[in-house]
Amino acid sequence: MECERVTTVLPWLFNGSLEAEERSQVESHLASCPACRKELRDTAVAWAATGAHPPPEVISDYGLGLEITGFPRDVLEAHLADCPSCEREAAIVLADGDEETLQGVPPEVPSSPSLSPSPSPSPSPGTSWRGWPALALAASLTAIALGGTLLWQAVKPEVPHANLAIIELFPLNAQTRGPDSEVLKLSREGPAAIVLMPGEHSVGERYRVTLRTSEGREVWFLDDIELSEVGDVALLLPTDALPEGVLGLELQVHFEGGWKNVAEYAVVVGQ
Amino acid sequence: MTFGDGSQQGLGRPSDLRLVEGLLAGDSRSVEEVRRWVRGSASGYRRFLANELDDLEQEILLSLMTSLSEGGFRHECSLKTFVRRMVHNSCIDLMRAAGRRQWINVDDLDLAGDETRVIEALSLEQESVLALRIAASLSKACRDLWRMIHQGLSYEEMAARTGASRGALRVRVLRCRRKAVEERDRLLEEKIKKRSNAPASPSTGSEMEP
Repeated sequence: MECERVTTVLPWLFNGSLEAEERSQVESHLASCPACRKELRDTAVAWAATGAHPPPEVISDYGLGLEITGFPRDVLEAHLADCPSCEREAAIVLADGDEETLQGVPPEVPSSPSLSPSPSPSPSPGTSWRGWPALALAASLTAIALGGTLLWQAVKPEVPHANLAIIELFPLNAQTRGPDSEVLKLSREGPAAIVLMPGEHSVGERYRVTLRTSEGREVWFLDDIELSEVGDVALLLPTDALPEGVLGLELQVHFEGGWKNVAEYAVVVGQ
Repeated sequence: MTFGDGSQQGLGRPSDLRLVEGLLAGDSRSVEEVRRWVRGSASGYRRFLANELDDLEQEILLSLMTSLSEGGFRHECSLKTFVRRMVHNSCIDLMRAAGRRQWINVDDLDLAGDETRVIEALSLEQESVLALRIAASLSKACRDLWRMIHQGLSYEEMAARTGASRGALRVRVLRCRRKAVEERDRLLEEKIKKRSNAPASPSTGSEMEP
């Protein structure tokens, strides 16, 4: 195995997802190649940095409104704005057993990393809590009946097995959920919907959703979607008319006289 | 540490003093009152730690007793705040442990020297600030890619999710990794510079001067 190949697969050596044969080739190469061992050490830096979280005491003190000692507050708040699991921990501490506040705590669904995210039009750092009302709604969404009727039930905080994708419009960035994974997977069999769930920040804004093929060809779009605070917007997609495969979904907001990108997602249209 | 909850540091509220005394004497009413606090604060974790919560409640009460008997509660805050903090720390610890994946053991890679200690070093509590600063310096796209790696996704799965080719994806991840290393080096250099520029403290000043 060549050094170049070894270097590029090292992150997956750490997460244990390499196939047995590939892993064995990488390991035997590492044993005899000092340069690649240096690469391994560098990979360890990125692995440790991107997997780090503030200690539980820091999260507890922050959530309880106590003074945080020995840990920079800016580092903590930047992390909370970016890490759904730590944000959830801090939210639970903040609720401190209060049932009503706990309703707004994000459920245990990992956020979906987008394809090439761009910042929301006017991000307000440190205010990610504002998105929780939308999360509470998402948690209570269990089914959607297409054809004009939305059915809501406040039960388990799980995303339903429906031909449905949800985009939550947060103050800082848009997040997505698919029926059974983080990527938006939609079947061509039967109608499908994308639900836009506004956060406080996105109410009153005008949005545009565009679906494009990997070559950039526009296959579907909907303009001037105005979000109000009284409900969410379900966009019915003509899935039977969409090409199969991976499409790019662009979410844009009308801002300062033009359409600005909020986020992009991969939408897999399959059978 | 300032808690700002009205307690008089070092003296203790009379109600807390009575409660601590009752707990240490095994008074059932005192135990019940504190148990209610524990249950209240822990209830937010029920949907994540449903099966473990009862055992954890007992463990927290035991730790609390030990801490009280060893003088761990120094009345810097109210007893209730002390208990709530203990509950949240324990629950977050357990929630993190429950969600932790079994990663490859780096020691199994049989590498010489200190190379295997890099992860441990950055995982240490005192280094977590450095680690988080490095992560914060990366673009969101980079953090998202590495988050997927931490979620245990293979590069094939990641390529499918992002719509990139496998080769392009691996190179993108490699670039992010290089940025992380550069930032680590920059931060460490900055730290060293700061230390060498910092005025010597009165107690060590004479020793530092040539």
